[in-house]
Amino acid sequence: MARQLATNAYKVLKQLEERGGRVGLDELVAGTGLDQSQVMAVATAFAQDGWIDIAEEIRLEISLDEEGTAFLQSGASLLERRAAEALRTSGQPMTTVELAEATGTDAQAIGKVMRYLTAKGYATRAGKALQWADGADLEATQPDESLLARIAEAPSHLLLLGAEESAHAEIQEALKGLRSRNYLRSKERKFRELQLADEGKKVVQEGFEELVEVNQLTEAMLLSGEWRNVSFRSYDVTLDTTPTRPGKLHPLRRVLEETRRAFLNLGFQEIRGPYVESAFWDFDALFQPQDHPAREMQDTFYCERPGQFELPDPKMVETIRRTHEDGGDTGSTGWRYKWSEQKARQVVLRTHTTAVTVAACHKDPSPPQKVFCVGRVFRRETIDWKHLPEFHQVDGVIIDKDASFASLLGTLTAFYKQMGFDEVKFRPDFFPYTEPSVGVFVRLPGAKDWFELGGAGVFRPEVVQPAGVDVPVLAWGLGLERLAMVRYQIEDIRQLYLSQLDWLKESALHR
Amino acid sequence: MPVIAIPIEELNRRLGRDLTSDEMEAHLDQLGCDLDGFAKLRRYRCRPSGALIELNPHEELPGRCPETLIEGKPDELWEYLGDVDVVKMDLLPVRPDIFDAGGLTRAIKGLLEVEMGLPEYEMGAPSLEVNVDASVANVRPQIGCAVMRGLKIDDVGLRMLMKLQENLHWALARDRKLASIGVYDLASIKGPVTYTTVGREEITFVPLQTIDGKAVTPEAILSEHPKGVAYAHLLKDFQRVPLLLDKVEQVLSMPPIINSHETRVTTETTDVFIDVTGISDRVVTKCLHTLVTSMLELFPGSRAERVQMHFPGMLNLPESTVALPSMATESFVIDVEHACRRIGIDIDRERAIRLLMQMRHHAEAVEDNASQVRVTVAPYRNDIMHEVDLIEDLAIAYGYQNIVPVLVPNMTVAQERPERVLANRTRNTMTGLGFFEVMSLLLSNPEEQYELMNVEDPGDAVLIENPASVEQSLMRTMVLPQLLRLFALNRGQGLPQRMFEVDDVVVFEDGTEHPSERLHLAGGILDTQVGFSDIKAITEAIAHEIGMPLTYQAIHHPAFLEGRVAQLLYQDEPVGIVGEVHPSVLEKLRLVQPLAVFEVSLQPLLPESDLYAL
Repeated sequence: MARQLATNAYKVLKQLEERGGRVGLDELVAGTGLDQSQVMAVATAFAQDGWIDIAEEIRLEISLDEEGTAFLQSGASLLERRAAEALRTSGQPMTTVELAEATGTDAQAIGKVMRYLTAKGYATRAGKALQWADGADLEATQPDESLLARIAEAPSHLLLLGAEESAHAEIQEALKGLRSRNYLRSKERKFRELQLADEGKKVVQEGFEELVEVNQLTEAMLLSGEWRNVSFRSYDVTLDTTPTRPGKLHPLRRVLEETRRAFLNLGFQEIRGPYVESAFWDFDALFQPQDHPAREMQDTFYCERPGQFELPDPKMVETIRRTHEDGGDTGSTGWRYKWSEQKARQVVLRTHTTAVTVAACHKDPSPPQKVFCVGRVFRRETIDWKHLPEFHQVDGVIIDKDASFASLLGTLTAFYKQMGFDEVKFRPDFFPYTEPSVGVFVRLPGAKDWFELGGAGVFRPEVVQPAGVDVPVLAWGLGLERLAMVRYQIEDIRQLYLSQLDWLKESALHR
Repeated sequence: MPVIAIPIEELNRRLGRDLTSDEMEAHLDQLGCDLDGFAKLRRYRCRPSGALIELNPHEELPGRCPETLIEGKPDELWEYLGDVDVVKMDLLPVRPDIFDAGGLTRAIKGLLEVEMGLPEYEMGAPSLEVNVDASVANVRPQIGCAVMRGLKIDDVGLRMLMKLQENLHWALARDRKLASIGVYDLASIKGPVTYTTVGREEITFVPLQTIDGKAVTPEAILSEHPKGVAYAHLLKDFQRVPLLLDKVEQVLSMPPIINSHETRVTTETTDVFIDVTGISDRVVTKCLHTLVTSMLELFPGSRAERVQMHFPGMLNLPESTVALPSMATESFVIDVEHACRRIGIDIDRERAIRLLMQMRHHAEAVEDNASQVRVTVAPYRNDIMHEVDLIEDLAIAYGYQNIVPVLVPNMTVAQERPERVLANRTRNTMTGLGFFEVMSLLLSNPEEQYELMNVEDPGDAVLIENPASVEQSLMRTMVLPQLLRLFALNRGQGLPQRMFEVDDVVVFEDGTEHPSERLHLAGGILDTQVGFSDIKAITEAIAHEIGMPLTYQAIHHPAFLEGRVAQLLYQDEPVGIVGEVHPSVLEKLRLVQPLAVFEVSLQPLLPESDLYAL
């Protein structure tokens, strides 16, 4: 069976066979219709297999210059030959002016060829005039003339001289003269020639044929079975492709969802509460005094529509009032001021999701319970790189007779471990509605700085006793934008809400 | 939160030992201080007035002395005295008693067990009297006073005293609203002192921080003096302003604005008169107690003395004479077993007593009970309202780092909210369709919600009374406007663009007390060629995946191209809209490719709302 060769290899070998086993690269390019790099790729492969030898030679490429082109077009002979003929005819010495007249040129042109008249032995000087040199052979073709003749006949008037010939003194001399007279140009070119080696000759003798190569496997090929007769072009598997990204969740959403999953994993029940809430649930139920700075218009969004909400069951309201004013039945001194129902009725955008968890304690105070809420909260901030008027928190409470501050620390540690923070630090902190209170800090693996991510504590009796809870209630509220910023190493919180597609696309799911 | 800087030298001198910065950090951490770090400040003296300032190395020297308002060329005005090493931290409003070198030393001495238990402060018998006039009742009725003697106030001491007042004004007194402090050179005062009110043009006096030394009226101070302008709002409702005068009618101060120049404290002063006036009895008392006890710590060798206060019959109280400051302490009984259970530690009563003493409380075993401890709390503590506050102090003294974290032992079952389950199912569908999730704020504005969409305000949004910016003046009722904005923001980030958001909108309907929160999905495709059928296909895919069969009905909507917009119906009720965005909207957004979008409420798939169940 004949040897099968891929298309390009087939074409090159075929040319070599047809042209007697020895072909220049240029001819191969012309003959195969391939481009030079394709031919060289095949040639290199052939040479590696020992099928061919590649010979390299520096050749001189000679082409016509301006004067040379005009000369060929005119069909006349060189001016010095025409002047010599005039001298021979006259037999007398002639001045340049006389020669110009005789040859139909001007004195300047004659002046330029004077040296060739003498150098070629046609004439001798006689004072300022020239005289026919006895014995001069006008019939003999001079080397420059024969060079011009060869160019005239060469394809496209391009003449290639091998290294040996171009080194010949006579050629060199002729070339030098013609170049200086703007008849010719010349440059050196690297010339490659492919020659069949013994191994290659054997392949040719044994016969070879073209193997059909295709880019794409098609339905037609599969239906016809044609795929058996073709070969598939090999690709460069290392080349880059156009980047493609899957549709994905927003990076902040991923943090919110991981947060939810972490608390669900810990056996928590998810709850929700309204964004638009009475000050009663946002502040008063949390024992936050009505003159607390956080309640000021400066820090909290109050609503114009709706302007106020009804308060819950009067008995509950009365308990809260007494707790604020003198501690009620909680054993506390209270805040010692006059509590206003009107202030409690004001409508705010919830400032923390603790409003949701404290309402949950009132809704169902029976232990054991673990609930959490992930949601947006609102603070009256103008937008800058550190602040947004809304952000997400996770709040949770544990209502359990065996709950303690230690189990609060344990729960938070377990939560942050699930979120990928192995290092958690606790420090005393102060909130109006928890006691003891704690600030929670985390650190990225290998990092130096601690980031405060939120506050936690055991709800004060002033908070839980009015709800009818008589076991410890652990509570926390943690900022989630902060956590996302630490996670994604974002400096500017606004980036989270600009949703730039480039960022969304490039933020990898594993991060 | 203000940052305070306490000179480390002052701390170490009072502690009688040199703490390393690591030790210092550990103690401050244990007390709950938010440490900003250690720093070197450059200290300068104002040449004309002698006042000190401390600047960060990179800060420029001011052209005006902040204390005396004297102006001058910075180089000539200030004399460089050297560098001070300080520890910087955020001021905690609940513990103003530990934010001066004296009070902080007192607390750290307890942790170090150098000094434990309740600090004893002796109060001398009154030698000065203050008469309170009933006219203050409606303006600024509360007042407490004290006298201190034997102070050695150098310029550093003067600065510390000023910082102490500033801290108390901020932390306890809500920037002078609830209470304000005045300190005067006792030698310049002839008792008895009167606390009264005057008309705004009735008298004149020379206030502190004036350059020309001219006597001016209260009205002139409130409208022209920097301090007067800053605090005028506290007196804006009153015709008559509070005033402290001495026997010869020399003005001491106009609370809560400014003191008089004549009675100012200088480095020559050894004895001072102190007043705290305000509208809250509790805060006035706490300020006075904290100030006096911190000064006793700050100025070793000084003595405090009570002042005889004559109150008229006012505010439903009978006429009375009392000696202030009372320095009254409060007592609480805590149960150690209960405390241990709440904290999750196991210590005996002896250990608990010792820990409470470390926190500078007096603690002693209750005789007839094996577990109870009686705790007496110092007059400068402002944060002890209940037994649990002392349990926290116990936990702080024990050290949070020594508490072993555990989990609650009782089993509970996890459960997700149905809205979250549905939202996530929807998000999964959208990302599967090659869309990127975006997130925007729930706060929006009429320009975005209505004008951009070529519609009138239907009046169903929750409105903010006090927006911080016009950009956020209402709660959004649709997601689409913000999604369109995000397409505009993403101009030039490649095509096609496919984005969606799943989150809440809030709609308030007249006649209902509470607004409704609804879960919405909005999505859109921006490309060189995109049209109605492309986006309709997406809504059909969603409908299929989340089980919400939709029907489509041609409608008009000014934000969409006529004939290429449909209302989405679920069980014959309108739930959304889908179509090609109108070129007039695209022009407003400066978008130059077609955009096809939809928005649909997912609320019909969710159970009835129980948001406002209570």
